[in-house]
Amino acid sequence: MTPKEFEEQALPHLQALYNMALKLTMKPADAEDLVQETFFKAFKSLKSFESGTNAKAWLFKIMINTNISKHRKKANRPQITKYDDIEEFFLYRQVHDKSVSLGGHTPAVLNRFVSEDIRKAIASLPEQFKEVVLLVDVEGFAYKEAGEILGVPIGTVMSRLHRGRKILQKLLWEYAEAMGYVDKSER
Amino acid sequence: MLTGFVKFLKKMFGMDEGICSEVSRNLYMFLDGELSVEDIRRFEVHFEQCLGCDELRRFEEKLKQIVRENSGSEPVPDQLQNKVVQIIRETDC
Repeated sequence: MTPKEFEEQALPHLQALYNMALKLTMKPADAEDLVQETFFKAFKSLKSFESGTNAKAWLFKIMINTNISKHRKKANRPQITKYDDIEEFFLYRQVHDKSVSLGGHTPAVLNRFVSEDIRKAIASLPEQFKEVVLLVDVEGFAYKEAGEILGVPIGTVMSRLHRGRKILQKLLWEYAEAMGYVDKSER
Repeated sequence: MLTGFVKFLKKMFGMDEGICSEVSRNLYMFLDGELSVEDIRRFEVHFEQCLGCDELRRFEEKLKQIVRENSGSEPVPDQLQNKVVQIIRETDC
């Protein structure tokens, strides 16, 4: 791939990469550094990229790896066991089992969440779950692509996604209770 | 032979009881577009007939949408945009 092709194929993903970097680093200055380093590394390894394959996935892979190697010492990515016992479809079960009939409609509680709740919940996810939830739910990558980006088998993508979503739902339920989105008298 | 046929018909029309547990097991694959066309069709037929599964599906679908739309997006700072373009145009590779 030529530098010109690289510019055409990589630059359109700058916004998505910056958003991801912000969520991974939580600091605008660190996010900028991470994006720059990603583009620099990508550009340096142009030869390893095959034209016509997924440029976005390739860039995300470089970014995830760069981020991990930067923070390996600090975080050491511990195994998370704190959230092991969360029930399947946690939020739905809470709302459904404990409130009055929903009448087949989307429960009002989902519409009460504001952007800040969602952002806070994503930010609170343990890193390995955050990565996969962002890749699949926000960036719309297929499981296979997410696996290639993270360097893990599809089965691992699925189990992390599953757990990540359960944790996210638990966190959202905690906000919903704290903020009074759920009327206790309904329960 | 007849029971097999009835089972087949039930499965065809999404009335097989086992399908509710299959739906809850594979709901995320359905929502993430990871199921085969046939399975998607089977699930959709089932959602039309099973209120419980349909309600769960709508809830999870809506939640996925809310997460996607509210995960946060900040405009790329000009200086970053400029630096990236500079990397591409000026780095000797």
